[in-house]
Amino acid sequence: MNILESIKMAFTSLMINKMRSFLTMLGIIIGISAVITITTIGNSIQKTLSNTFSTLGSASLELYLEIKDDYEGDDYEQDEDDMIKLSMVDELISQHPNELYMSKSEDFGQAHLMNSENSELTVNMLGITDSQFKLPTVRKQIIKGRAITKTDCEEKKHSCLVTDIFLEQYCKDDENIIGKTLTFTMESGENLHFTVVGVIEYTELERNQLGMNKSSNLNDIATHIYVPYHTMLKLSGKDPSKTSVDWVNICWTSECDVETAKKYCREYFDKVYANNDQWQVAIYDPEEQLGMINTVLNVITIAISIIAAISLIVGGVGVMNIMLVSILERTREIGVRKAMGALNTDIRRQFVIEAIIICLIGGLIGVLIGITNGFLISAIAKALMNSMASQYAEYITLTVQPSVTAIIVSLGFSMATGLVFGYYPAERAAKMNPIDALRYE
Amino acid sequence: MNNIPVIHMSSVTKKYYIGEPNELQILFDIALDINEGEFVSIVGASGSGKSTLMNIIGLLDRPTDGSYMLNGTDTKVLDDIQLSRIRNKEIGFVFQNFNLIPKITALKNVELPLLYAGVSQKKRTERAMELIELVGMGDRYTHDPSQLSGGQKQRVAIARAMANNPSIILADEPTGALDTKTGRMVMDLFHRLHKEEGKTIVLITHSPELASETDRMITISDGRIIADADRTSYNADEAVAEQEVSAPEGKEAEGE
Repeated sequence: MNILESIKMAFTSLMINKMRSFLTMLGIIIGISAVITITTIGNSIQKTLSNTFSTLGSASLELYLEIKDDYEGDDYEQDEDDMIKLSMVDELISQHPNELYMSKSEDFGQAHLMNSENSELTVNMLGITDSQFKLPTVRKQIIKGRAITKTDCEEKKHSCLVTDIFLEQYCKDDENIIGKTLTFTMESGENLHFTVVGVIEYTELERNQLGMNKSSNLNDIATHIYVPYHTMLKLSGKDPSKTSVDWVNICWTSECDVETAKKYCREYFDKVYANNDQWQVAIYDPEEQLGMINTVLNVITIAISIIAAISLIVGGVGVMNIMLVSILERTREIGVRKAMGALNTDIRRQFVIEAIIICLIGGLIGVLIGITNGFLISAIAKALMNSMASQYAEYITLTVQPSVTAIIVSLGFSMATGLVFGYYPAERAAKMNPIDALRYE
Repeated sequence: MNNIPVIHMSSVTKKYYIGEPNELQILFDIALDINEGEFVSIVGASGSGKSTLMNIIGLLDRPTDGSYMLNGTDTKVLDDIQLSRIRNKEIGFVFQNFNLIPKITALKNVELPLLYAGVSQKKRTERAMELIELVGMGDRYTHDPSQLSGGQKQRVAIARAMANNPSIILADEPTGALDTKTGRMVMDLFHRLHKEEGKTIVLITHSPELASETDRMITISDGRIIADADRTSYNADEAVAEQEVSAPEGKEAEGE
């Protein structure tokens, strides 16, 4: 007798007692659906976080000073000598010219200027390197003109980028803003001239942060003006090679990856700070944070899944119980089958397959319920988020992603449950003495 | 007919609880030959050991001592798997209480021995239909046993016993659970299978009337064969008379 016949026969037997078969499955259904619901939620949170990170998060390493682990003094003052110098960064980058580049932005202070209608506008000046626009965090939409380029920085040009809101404030969407030279009055009273090279568009989140929706007067909003970083340094009277910074971002090109970039930074700064017994350079990778969250989530998911899986064992015991009852009920049938020439293996296989089918179908139903639960919960979460944190809602794309591994593992586990808990009753059936079985009333 | 008897038993004994104080011997020194094409009845009161003998003949049980050759094969040397295979191919069981598998159709019941013989679905259905027609159940093969009367169930059971064209049909009190009329019908069916299909039939019964219909009557008492009467010569004219009596019923059974 082949396996296909056994499966067909098992289905026939299960269909005879539909209600009982279903109730037996119920334990498995509950166990599996609980596991799948939990893993789907865990997996979806991870996916949502990593999606959100990749739209909002940065693909750069942040370098800053930190106290050395073995420092035992009580002097926590940073001296000028301790600081990270741009010259160090330049040297690091020159060692790996095609792999690393620096990304830096620094506040240049507030400035004022008159718009075309002669009312005063306040702006925040910001010095940026050209690479700032390559970062996902500041991946601004250039709607007119161009971004700040490497040449702008190197030649310390007086070019600047303005924003779409500024455009409205300044000249009510004048088409010809590109190429215009604006005069900014700094806090110090100094007048600086910058030529507009491009216009960028604020994202919805930034608009909210600027208070666009609350402020009644558009002109009260202080928007950003981006100027080349090196131009800013020069205007502040600093020598780029001697300037020290609190922090700096290091990015990597497609020829490099995050781990290599980290290694380069570590190697270089360990050497430079080898003789500094108080300070070292910390390398912070935001993605690492995500990794940590994921690890925590994984642990929680696994822990809860194990608890849910225990209910599978309860379900399995239920299956065993029913199989024992069913075998007792069908003792005569077993006797007849044996008299008709069924081998012990045929009988054993018939009942093991019945148990496996119960568990497998239960498992499949459980998986479907679990996935449905995942979508239901995500719908609820979406509704809650829209009502509670509406301004961030559109930046968080809720992704429902059932864990494929969990599905495969649970189906395998439910099959194994059937095999384990079905084997003992099946073995009992197989070992029955046909004479006694035929005589059984 | 060949020279080797279908069943050849010599000095078969059966004991239970061997070596224990309550040791029980059921069969004593049974010697028995049944040839191909014989219709033999084994009669005995309950407790005489006829069921045990039937179990041994049907390879459901092994003798404690002695030899049992089935179609010339010594069954002593066979393992359980081989016994199952022989049971499947060479022996057709008909039970007092029918022992059809509930909730599957009559056709599926008849297919059962074919299933364990590894016959394909198509051939199984073909053969089972053929047999169902043979026992006159052609119009009820889709019914499950709960929808059949006792006589109908027994006819399905006989069709099932015939499935693999076995050497022996072993019928244990086949009319015991039936009323006289349907019992008669079932007995007629056995006679037909014997005469038309040339089947070797071993009928176990406690009723001397039924036994007297067969060619040969073996009487068993307290585990010993006390009489073995070949009644072939005597039976000849009676069989003719019987056929005349049962003919209308036989036709009815076929026409059902």
